[in-house]
Amino acid sequence: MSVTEDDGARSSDAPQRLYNRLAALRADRGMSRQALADAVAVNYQTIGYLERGDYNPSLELAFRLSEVFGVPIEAIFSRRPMRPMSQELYGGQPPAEAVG
Amino acid sequence: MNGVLTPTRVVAGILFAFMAISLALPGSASTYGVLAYLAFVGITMVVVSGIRKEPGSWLGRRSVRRCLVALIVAVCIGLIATPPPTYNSTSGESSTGPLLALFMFMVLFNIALGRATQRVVSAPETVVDEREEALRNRACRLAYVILLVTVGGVLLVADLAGEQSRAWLGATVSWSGWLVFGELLFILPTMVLAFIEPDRVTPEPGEIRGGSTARQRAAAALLVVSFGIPVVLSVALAVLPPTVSTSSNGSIVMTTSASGVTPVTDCRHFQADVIVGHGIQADIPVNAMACWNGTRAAESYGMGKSDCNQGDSVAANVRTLACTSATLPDGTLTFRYRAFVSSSLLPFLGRTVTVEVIIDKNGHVLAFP
Repeated sequence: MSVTEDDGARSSDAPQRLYNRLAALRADRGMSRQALADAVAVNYQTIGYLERGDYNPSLELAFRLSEVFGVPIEAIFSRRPMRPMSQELYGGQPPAEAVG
Repeated sequence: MNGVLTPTRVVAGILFAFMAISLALPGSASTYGVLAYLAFVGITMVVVSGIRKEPGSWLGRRSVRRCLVALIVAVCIGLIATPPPTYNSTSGESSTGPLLALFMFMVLFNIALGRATQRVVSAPETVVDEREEALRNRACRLAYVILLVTVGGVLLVADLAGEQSRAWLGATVSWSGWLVFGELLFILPTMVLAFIEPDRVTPEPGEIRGGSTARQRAAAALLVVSFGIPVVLSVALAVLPPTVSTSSNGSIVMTTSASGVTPVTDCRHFQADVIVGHGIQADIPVNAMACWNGTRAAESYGMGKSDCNQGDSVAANVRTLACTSATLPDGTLTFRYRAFVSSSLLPFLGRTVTVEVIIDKNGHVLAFP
């Protein structure tokens, strides 16, 4: 079975974990989980599960999130661990103290 | 159809239909009382099932939810292991054992589980989002596989194993087995969902909307009353005095011929009902014919060991402590029946009831309930 014990909320046809930047984007926009949940018409718990990686969104939900933040889907979700936004934007190395 | 015919509403509708049919049939006051209580519980179920309240940080933890599931499984095993209500016609004892208490625990745990899962399984599709729907679908798929394996497996093994297991199966299926089967059929998806759903996300400050609504307050009040009524009635059974209704009718004169003398024997029919408790109650009846002839009094019928029986009992256990009938040397007839009556819900809480009929040789009634 492709679904592990710890991902009860994950749909069985999306077994691989998706990494995301939802928490960073939300903090950047000063949005609460509830506000984001209202904007994309889901339960605020679902936003928490998404941020935690416990649930992989449907394409529909991913598009809605993309529209709310005004960034492409691949800027929010990735199959690989995501680098910090500053690195993505400027390609520079993070400061030494941030690495540790 | 979506949002209207949820499983909970269908089950509630079937239960109400059964109760309506039962109410249309003639029955005793206690039967109507039980049906009225069940109707109240049905209303409570409908109100409570429509509420999706945040489970809170404690019930939101998966470990707590898994503990609840384990408790429900334990109660189900207890229900299956508990023998059906017994009635011993020789000793006059009746007992429902811990069935009622187990049932109450099951209801309580089900309510807690419903709150812990926000009743996602029975919620209309319009109020669940895609994650909840996916979770519900997965829980239902797993639940019905588990149901098939457990129920089918138990039935198959018990039927094939031997005479003893077949007898156990017959006794279980006819009583608590149905209760457990109903629990598995309707609650197993919720149990599976509670088991597999990860820990809920801790709400950020101000994330939980509003306080308790009027409907939530009403549901809480209905729950308190639903659980409070049996407890109060159990306490009342132990505390309030029994209700007694008596009748002593029809003095019958019989003449018997013996050694040229015609002694006159008077007989009187004594009937009494000592009802202990209200709602949760046991009826201890006396139905006896006593005769006397100026020399001695004796029972004609109705005061033997086999007459120490309780009548109707509703969720009450009756344990016979003493049952004696004797004519003393002075010709006085003494019939004494002592029993311990307790609620099935709180079996440790009860009272001793003594029913006495004492008639002297001249027919004077010295004691009668």
